[in-house]
Amino acid sequence: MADDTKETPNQGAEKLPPTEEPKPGAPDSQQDAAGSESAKPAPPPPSTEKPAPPKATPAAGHKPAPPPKKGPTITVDITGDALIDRIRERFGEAITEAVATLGQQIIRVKKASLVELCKFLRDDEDALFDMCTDLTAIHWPDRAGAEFEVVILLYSVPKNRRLRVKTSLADGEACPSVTHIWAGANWMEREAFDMFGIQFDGHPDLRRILLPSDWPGHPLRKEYPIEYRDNEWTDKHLDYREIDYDTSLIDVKYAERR
Amino acid sequence: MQEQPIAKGQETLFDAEEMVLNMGPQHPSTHGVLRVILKLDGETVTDLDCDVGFLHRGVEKIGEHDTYAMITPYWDRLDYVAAVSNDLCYVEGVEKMLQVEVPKRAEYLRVILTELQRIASHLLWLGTHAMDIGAVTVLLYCFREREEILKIFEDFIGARLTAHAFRIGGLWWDAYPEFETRVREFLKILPGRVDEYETLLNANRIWLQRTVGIGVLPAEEAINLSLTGPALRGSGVKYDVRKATPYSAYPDFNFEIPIGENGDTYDRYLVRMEEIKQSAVIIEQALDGLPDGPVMAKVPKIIKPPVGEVYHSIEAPKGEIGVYMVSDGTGKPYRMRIRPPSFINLQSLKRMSIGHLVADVVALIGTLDIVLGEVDR
Repeated sequence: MADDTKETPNQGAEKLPPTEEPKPGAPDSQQDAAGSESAKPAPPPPSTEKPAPPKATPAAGHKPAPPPKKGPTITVDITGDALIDRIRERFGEAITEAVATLGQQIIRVKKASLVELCKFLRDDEDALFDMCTDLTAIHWPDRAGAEFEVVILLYSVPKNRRLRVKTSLADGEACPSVTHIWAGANWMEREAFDMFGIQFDGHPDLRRILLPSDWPGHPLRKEYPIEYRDNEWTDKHLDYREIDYDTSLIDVKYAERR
Repeated sequence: MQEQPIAKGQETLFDAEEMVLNMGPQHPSTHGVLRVILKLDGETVTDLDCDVGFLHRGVEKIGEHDTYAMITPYWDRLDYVAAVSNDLCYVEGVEKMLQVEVPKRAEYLRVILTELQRIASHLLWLGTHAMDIGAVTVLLYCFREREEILKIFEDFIGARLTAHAFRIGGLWWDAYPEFETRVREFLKILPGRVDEYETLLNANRIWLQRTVGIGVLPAEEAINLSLTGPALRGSGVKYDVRKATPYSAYPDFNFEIPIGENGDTYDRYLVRMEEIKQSAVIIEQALDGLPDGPVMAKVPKIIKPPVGEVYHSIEAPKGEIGVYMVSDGTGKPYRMRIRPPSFINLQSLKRMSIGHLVADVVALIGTLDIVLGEVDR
């Protein structure tokens, strides 16, 4: 395969860093080595966009990667935290995971309880997450039944605390909107809809925001190729087209001047 | 300009026809290619819709297909008048994932450059904002000082605007020999010049009429709208990422966070002017304490962060710029989300404009300090 010949120099280079591993420490280097080993047996890594047909590229490239939840050293459980315990007490089974990665707290909630949890997080005296810093989504085409992950990044101005709320959706499933809780989430949800095609139930004005309204597809989905040109759309809106001018009139004017 | 027939039940004052006015995308006071669709009753704005995306390049998608080092220059082009600040956000995000410790000297130099960039960005904002409202003189003065900063950048980084200042792990080059003296010289002239702008504007009757009481945003609403940066602090909320979640070498320095009282355009102006002075204070402290040593940490040639995710944000001149990155253990991010302060701040334009005049919309776009390169990404 053409891919293999292209990849060999890269893999040689990949072996270099673990040998002269600097500060980050042993666990990281192990992680690094494990990553490159697991990447080796799979022939088409994501680095080659050109030769592969556009649809297969990203999905195939990301298959060899291990399921991205448990980083060996950096993710810890945070059940001891007072607020997290209160949330768990209140929502019980709906909270499926509560971890901290690199000291950043993440809770995963079932979709049905998302709005209730968000209201609780905004209004509860211990939480007071009054600002929705960001709302975005991630596409995991390999996870059947949970292809999309909506991530809400919250910040509490009075408590100076951050929290990330995650929920999973199947492809084509709608996510409940949080715009009525944080008005700032409005454009962020519109962008998530624009880029991933996720519907937000209860959003007051769900339109595309960055792309033209008649644009086909949602570019941040993994199956959407990076080198893609929609000729039909471009022709319709941007391309030069010859127009039949009635040139006789212009000619006459110039002729008269001369 | 196009007219719309009256909808039933929509009759307004004097039964006048409601007019839909299209402002932009090629309008000088929209600071780029922003299209604002205004619904007007006479000269009063009754509804407003922003049409953005004319500059969309798909940086987040490109990010998924480039290695970590290759992505950095794309960040320069987000907020192209504050390229250094953007770089810092991304570079520190990757360093956080790699758990790399950056040398102290590099961090101090980063702070100096970022604060110089903040001054430059605020000066550009002040000049254009004042010109939008009708004070042309200020623009010329502001560009005079901004030029000095850009010259310092040019000699250090090699570029004036899209300055690719930082690398993952530190800086590519150490400061050139005259860097310190030149920055100190600039700091010597800056306070006098800022006073000059303030004499021109602070008590200027036209300036006051155009800014005081325009676009008042109470603190609670501003937080609810996810506003950040000087626009939020103008409403009296003391939220600055440099103090809230300190990064780089900021814990080493003493500085104030200026806040406004009324949350109007004039307060936001005062906050930014005070921020220029505070940035000068930070730079002076950083120059005094600038340690010796290397400027680059040991970073693997091929950057492969461990599986996981990170959110890192810094206080850019426009607000909180953040990066949310998911790594799957390969050399390219699985997902790179940019938290764009201009984009998120811009959505409060609708809330602020309704009830004001068309001319005030120009002032309000200016006060939000948006850069369309970052709004559209």
